[in-house]
Amino acid sequence: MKQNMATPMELRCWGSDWGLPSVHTESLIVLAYAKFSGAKVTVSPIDWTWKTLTATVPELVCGESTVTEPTQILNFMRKQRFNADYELTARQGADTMAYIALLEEKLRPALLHTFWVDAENYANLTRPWFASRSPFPLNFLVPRRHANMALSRILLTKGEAPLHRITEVEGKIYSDAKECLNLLSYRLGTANYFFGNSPASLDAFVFGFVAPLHKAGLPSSPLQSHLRQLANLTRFCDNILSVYFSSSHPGKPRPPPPVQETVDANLQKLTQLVNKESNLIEKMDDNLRSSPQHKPHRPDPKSSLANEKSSTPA
Amino acid sequence: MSLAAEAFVSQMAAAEPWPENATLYQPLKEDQILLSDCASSLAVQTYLRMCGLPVQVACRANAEYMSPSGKVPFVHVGNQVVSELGPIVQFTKAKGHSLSDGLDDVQRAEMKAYMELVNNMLLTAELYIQWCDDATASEISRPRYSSPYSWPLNHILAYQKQWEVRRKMNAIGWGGKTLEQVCRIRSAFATSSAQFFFQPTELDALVFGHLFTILTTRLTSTELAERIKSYSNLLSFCRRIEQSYFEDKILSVSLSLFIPSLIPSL
Amino acid sequence: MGSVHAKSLDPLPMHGRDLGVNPDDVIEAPEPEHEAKQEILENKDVVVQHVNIQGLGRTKEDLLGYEISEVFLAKNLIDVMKKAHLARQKLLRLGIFKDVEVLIDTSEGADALPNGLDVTFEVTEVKRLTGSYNTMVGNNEGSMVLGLKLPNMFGRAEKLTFQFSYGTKETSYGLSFFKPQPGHFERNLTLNMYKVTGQFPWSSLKETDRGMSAELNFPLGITNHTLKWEGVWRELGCLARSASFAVREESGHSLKSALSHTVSVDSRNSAIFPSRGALLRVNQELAGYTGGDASFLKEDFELQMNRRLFWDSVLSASLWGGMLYPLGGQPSCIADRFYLGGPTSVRGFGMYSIGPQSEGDYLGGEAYWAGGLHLYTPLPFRPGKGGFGDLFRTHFFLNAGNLCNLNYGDGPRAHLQKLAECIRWSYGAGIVLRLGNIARLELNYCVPMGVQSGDRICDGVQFGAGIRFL
Repeated sequence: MKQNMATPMELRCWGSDWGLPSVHTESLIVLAYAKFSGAKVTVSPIDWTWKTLTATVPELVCGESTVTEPTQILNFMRKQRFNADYELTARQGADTMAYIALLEEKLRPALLHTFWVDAENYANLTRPWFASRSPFPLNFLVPRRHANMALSRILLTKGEAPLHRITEVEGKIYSDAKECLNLLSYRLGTANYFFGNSPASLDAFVFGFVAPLHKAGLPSSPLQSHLRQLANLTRFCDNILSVYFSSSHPGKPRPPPPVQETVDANLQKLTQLVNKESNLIEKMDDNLRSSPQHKPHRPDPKSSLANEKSSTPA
Repeated sequence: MSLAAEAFVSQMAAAEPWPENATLYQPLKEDQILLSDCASSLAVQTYLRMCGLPVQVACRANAEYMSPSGKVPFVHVGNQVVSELGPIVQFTKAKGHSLSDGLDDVQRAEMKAYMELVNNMLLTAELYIQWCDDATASEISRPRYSSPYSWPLNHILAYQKQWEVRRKMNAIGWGGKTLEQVCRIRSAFATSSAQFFFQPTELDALVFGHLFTILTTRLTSTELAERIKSYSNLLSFCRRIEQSYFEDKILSVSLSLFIPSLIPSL
Repeated sequence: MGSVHAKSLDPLPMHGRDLGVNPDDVIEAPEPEHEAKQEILENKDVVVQHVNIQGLGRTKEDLLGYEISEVFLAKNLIDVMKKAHLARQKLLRLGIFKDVEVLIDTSEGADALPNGLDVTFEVTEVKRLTGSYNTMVGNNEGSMVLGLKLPNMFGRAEKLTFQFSYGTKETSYGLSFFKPQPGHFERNLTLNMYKVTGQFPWSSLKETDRGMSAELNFPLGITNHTLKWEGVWRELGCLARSASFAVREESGHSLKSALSHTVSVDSRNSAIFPSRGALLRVNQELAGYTGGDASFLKEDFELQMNRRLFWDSVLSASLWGGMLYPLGGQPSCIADRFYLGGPTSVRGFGMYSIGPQSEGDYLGGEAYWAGGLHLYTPLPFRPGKGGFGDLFRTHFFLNAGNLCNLNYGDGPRAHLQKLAECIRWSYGAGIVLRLGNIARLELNYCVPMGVQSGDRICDGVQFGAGIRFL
C-alpha cells in the first residue's frame, strides 16, 4: 500500500499519564485519529524539553512541513491517505462537523475551567503535573501561562457584557457542558462508535474531550461526577483505550473492517430514523429533489429569491 | 443570568400567555445594523413566526446596550427581557410554544449540534469578515456601526468594538486566518449543510436567518453569496421559508425594505 | 529700631520698585491712616525701602511681587504691620508655602534712609511633589485611592493634581491643572480630565463618564462667575438585570458638550452654619451647540437667607428650583434630569425618590422646586460650649418640594399649576454636625406629608450627609 511509503510523521504532544496516551485534549484527538486511520506516527512527547514553552501542541512534523491544530493535522493526514472518515456518507460528514462544533462551543469552556481555572483542581492536579513535566525554570511559567490563556478564552467567548467575572459565567458553562454530555450520550446510544462499527474523526474528538475528564483524578468536579452517570460515554472511552491504546497491541493498526458491516450499520441507522420520524419522508423528498439528476425538472434555483434581492442597486 | 434566576424567569414566564405587544429590538436597519446582527435578528423573527407568536420589530440605535447580554436581538415580552435565539427558544418553550417537541433525543441532539455549527462557523465567520477583514471593516462595518454617534465618539466606539472582536477571534484561534480561508470554511459548511431535516425547527430559523442575510447583503467580496447560490437546495430552502412565513404583506414590505438598505453605498 | 525723623521728607521713590509692580494692579487703594496718635512710633512716617523674600526655590519672584506690593505703600509702622500681615495671608493662600514669617527691621546699608524699613518674608516652600494614599471600604467593594499633587509646578502657583482610584469594581481617575492669574488669585483657569463611575441604585442605573472640562473663575463686583465648557462621553447601563425597561431604554453611549455659566453672590459668614447673610447661585447650562448628541437648556437656582434671632438661634430659609428644556425635539436623558428627595433635600423621603418612576426606578423630572425653613439653635443646655459643642446644632425644619415633567406646549400658567399640585412636604427635628467647613451630617426625625404613590418615604429617623443642603 502507498501509505507505507509515506514520509515518517512525527507528532509532538504532551506525554501520557492517568492511563491515557496523553493528558492533553488536542494531543489525544490526534493520537486517537492516527490510530483509527492506521497512520504510523512517531510520538515524541515534549515533556522536560524547552518545547513546553515554544511549541504549539500538538504539532505534526512530516518531512519539511509542520502542521498544528487538530483540524489541520487531521486534514493533513487525510491528504496522506490516512482517512478514518472514508466510509461516512455526506450526511455523516456534516454530522461530524456539527458535533465537533457542539464540543467546541459547549464542552470546551467547562473543560478548560475544570482543569485550569478551578482552584482546587489546578493546585492539586493540573499545576503539579505540568510543572513536573517542564524543565526548570519553565516549571514556574508553563502552568501559569496555560491557566491565563484558559481563563481569558472563557471570559472572551462566554463572558457576556453583564457577567464579566468568572463566578458569574461558571454556572452557565457547566450547565451547557452537562447538556452537551447528555446530547452525546443520547447520540451514542448503545453503539460502540458514533458512526457504525468503526471509529471516525468524530470519535477521535469525543474521545479527546471526554477521556481526560473520565480518567483524571480531579479533586472536585461536578462535571466528572455527571459524566460517571453516563455509562455509555465512559464505556466508549474505555473501549477505545483498550482496543487502540492497550500496551498488548502497541501501535497495531486496526484490521480493515468488512465493508458489509458498515453498510449494514448505515442501513440500520437509516431504518431507525425512518421509523422514528415520519417527517423524514419530507426530508428525503427534499434530498431527492435537490440531487443533481433531478435538476432539469426543478424551477431555476436562482430565480426569485436571492438574485432579485442581491441585484438591487447598491 | 444565574441558573436560579433563569429558573425563576421561566417559572414566571410560564404563568403568563404571550402578549400582543411583544417587541423585538434590533439596531437601526437603515444605516446601522451589520450582517451578523441582521442575521441573528432575522433568525429570531423567523422562529417566532414559525411558532405563530406575534412580535413587533423596533429599531434602536442603542439596542446592543439595552440587551441584557450585550447581544442583539432581544425581545421584550410582558416585563421580561430575553436576548439571543437560544434563550428565546427556552423562553417560548416555558410559555408552551415549542417546535422541537416532536423530536426524539437523538434528533434533538443532532439539532443542537447543528445549531452550534451555525454559531461556531457562520456567526464567527460573519464576525470575522466584518471586523477582521480590513477592507470590510473600514468601508462598511466601522462607518455603519458608529453611524448614530457624533464625532469623536463614533471612532472610539467603532475601534473599541473592532478591538473586542479581534481579541475574541485571537482567543479562539481565528486571528491569523485570511479571508480565503474563512470562505473555504464557510463553503465547507455550505457543503455539509446541504442536507438538512426539512421540518421547521429553531435550527431552520437560524439557518434561514444567516443564509438569507448573506444572500441579500453585499459585502466587499461576493464570494460567499456565490458559494451559497451554487447550492440549489439551500436556495430553495430559503425561498420556501420566506414564502411560508414572510408572505403577509406588512412583513414582506418590511423585509424587502431593509434589504436594499443593508447594502451600503460603496 | 532707631528714632525716625521723617516729617520733613517726602516719600522717596523706593528701591523696592525694582520688583516691577504696576500701580494699576494694586488690589486696594491705600487709605491714609488717621488713627489716634498714641505712641510716637506709630504715627511716624516710615518708608519701606526693601522687601526681601528668603527661602525661595523654584517660585518665580514676579508672582510674589504682586502679592507683596501693598507693603511698599505703607506710611507708618502700624500700616506696615497690617499690610505685611495681609501679604502673609495672600502668600499662604497661594498654597505654595508651608509657612511664612514676617520680619520688620530698619534699613541698613549704604542707601539706608533714616526712616527706612526693610520687610523680610521668610518662606518655606512645599515639596515639589506630594502624595497621598488611602483605602476605602464601602458596601461590598473596596478601593485604593492614590493621589499625587505637584503644587507650584512652573513656579507661579500652578497646581497639577492627579487622583487614581483602583477599586474591586471600578477604576476611576482625574487629572486637573489649575492656573491662577498672578496677582489675582480669584481669577483662575482649571483644566480637568477624568473618568468617574457612579452607581445610582434609586434608578438602577450605572454611569461611567469620561470627559474633559475647562473652567474659568472670576469675580465681578460682589458676584463670582464661573464659565465652563465640558465635553463628556457618558456610558449608561443597568445596575441589575431587574432594572425597569424605561431605564434599559436609556442604556448606551452619548456625548454631551455643554457650556455653562454660574453666578453666585455669597454674603454668609459660614458655609455650613451661617448666622447671617444670604446666598444666591444661578446656574445655566446649554448643551448641544458645541457638538455632541445631547441638547438641552438647563436653568437652576439656589437661594438661602439667614437671620439671627434670640439666644444664638438662627432662622434660615432656602429655595431651590430648576428647569430642563430639551432642544431639537430629542427627549431628555435620564442622566441630565433633576432628582429630589433625601436627607439633605426634602427630608423624610428616600434618596432621590420623589416623582416620576417606572417599576420602582426613579426617572427624574424636567422641573422641580424645593423650599425649606429651618430654626437652628445650639444644643440644649449647651454642653461643650466654645469647643466641641459648637460643631453641633439642633434644628427644626419644614421642607416642601415637587418634581415633575412639564408639557412644554402648555404655557407658563399650566407649568405653575403642575408644580403646585401634589406638593410633597415634611417636618421634623434633628441634630446637625459640621464636618470641617465643607460638609455636614444630619440625624433627623422626619414626618413626611403629601406623599404620592410611587414615592419612597423614610418615616421616622433619617440619617444623611451632604455638602449641599436645603
